[in-house]
Amino acid sequence: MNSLRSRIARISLNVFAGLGLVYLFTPIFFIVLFSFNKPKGNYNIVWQEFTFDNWLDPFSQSSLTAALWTSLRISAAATLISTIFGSLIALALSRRAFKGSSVINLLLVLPLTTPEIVLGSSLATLFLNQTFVDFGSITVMIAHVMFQVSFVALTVRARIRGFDWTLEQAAADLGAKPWRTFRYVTFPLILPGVLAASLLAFALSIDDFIITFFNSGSTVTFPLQIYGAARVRIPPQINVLASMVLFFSVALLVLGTLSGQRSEAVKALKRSKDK
Amino acid sequence: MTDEKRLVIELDHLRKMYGDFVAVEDANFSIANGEFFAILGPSGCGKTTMLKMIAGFEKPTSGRVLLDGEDVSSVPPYRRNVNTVFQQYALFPHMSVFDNVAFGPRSAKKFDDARIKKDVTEILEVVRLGKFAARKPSQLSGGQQQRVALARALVNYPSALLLDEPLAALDLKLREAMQIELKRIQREVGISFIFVTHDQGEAITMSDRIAVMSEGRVEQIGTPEQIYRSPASLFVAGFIGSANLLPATVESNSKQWLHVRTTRGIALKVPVTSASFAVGDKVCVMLRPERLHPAQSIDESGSGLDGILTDLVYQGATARLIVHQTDDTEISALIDANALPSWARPGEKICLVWSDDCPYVLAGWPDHAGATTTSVDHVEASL
Repeated sequence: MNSLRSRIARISLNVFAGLGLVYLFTPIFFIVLFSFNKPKGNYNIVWQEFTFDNWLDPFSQSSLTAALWTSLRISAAATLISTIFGSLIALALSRRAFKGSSVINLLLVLPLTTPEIVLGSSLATLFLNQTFVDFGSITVMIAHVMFQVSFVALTVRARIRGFDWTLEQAAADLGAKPWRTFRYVTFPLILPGVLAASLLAFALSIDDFIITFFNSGSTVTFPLQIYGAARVRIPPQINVLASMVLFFSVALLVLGTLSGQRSEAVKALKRSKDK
Repeated sequence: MTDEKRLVIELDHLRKMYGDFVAVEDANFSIANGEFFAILGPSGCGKTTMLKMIAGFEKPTSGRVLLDGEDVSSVPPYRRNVNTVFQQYALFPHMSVFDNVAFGPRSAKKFDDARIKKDVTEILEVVRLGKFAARKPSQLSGGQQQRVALARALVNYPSALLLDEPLAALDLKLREAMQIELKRIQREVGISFIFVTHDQGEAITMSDRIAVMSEGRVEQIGTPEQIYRSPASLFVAGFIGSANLLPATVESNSKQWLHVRTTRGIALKVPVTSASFAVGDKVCVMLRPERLHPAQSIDESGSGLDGILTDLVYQGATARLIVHQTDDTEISALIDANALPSWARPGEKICLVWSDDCPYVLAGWPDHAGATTTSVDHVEASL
């Protein structure tokens, strides 16, 4: 009776978990699948026949490739800047409460809760009212840094909650000046959190459409290019490039997990040897 | 004893306030080279704040900290030649034991790699962790981590080593072994150890001198024996060891004896100490439990108390007697278990007697009359 009940519970748990995964991964599966399609006409939306042609020539659409490079360049620069500033904000907020820290906390959440369309249009207004930079890669980068900083600061802060600040005291006590303490103690310990935050920031930046749309001028990023092209044609190279980005990030993830497991395994091995 | 010895740490009217709260009030004492010095007190008494001011993590509100005769009150921690063993050790989790210990010498940049390697290896031998140099702190037991923290602090040959509740995180048996180990290491390196603790047993066992603190004030500084035998205040008497405190009033005094009458109405004579009392003064007679003996009646010439024996706690080598007096206070006596008389049974009448030099008189009346260690609430309030 009881075992029957627990079996039913276990089976239905698996079924629901499976349905959840299907829901999450079906779109991704279709992206990859249609990168192997040989479309009839301009739109790669109906399955015709299997081909490797698209993968053998992923960069045939030169405007698409150029847009991808533009996106990668902008996102890399924006991520670097926002990771540095966001992490510093997180460190300052975590270390101790200071005058105005609650105000900064509030301001950090603001870009997340404000509709993107408002952020994008008001930034455009700001850029229109100045003469230092023209619309282009620089304005897109500035716009991306603006919303990325919040994500980085909040992510890093969450990751370093529970950081043992007496470690910094211990380093100072042992004669390390503040920079040395940061370089050899604080930074290596918060690095995983900083990396996680920068990956998230990069992902947000590379697929941003709305804010970019308002501030790009004549610069065309990958999402803008696809949006513009979709009205005329959807080439399968879109799917190929998207799949490449996907596989690249999955590879990073697997590498990260494997190296983590490896060091755990090495530790376990060492422990068993000592005994 | 400290006169011909060099002073390592001098606290000059040190004071620390947090807003209106006085954390440390007028601390004024010095510690000599090679001393094992305890700062003892209940939690919140300001002992850790005092240690932090010596280490440089807190700035004194007023007064000075002198290290090797030099005023370091506004010198940052990384330029002070003292090292700290933190309560939770604060070992760097991403570094091996060797790198943890080498962190100080590498920061100092005084020696080359070969010399640092030699120093680190040597100090790891002193704390008996030579084999563990390549391990990460997470792969060590609590006692081993504690010794890494010690080695990491000692390798810099500081003028003094500061230890913040160094044994609090360890199990009882390990703690006792570490007490002996700490004493051995201190003798070996010859550096002054200043350690903060709330455990009076630990302070008495390990220290050359103890500073007892309460509510930000240093109540008494002395050797463990001085503090145990002649506490300077009621607080010290109650905090160190266990005591029976009897409120009384002075009736007459001679050169040698003070005659007092307890609130229960019993006349006692107490040897005169350095403090002088006038007739009518409110005083407190302290009786240490281990100096009381059971008797069937009080001798005409001697002093004693009578009551009902309520509890007899057998403790192996010793036995504890709890005697309930007619005024509802309890007196505790600690006797050799082999000397336990057969007539002493719970529920029966019993007398406790003592020799003339046992009672010690203190100014003022205690909050809680009788034994200090039989009431849970009272013990809790003093921790």
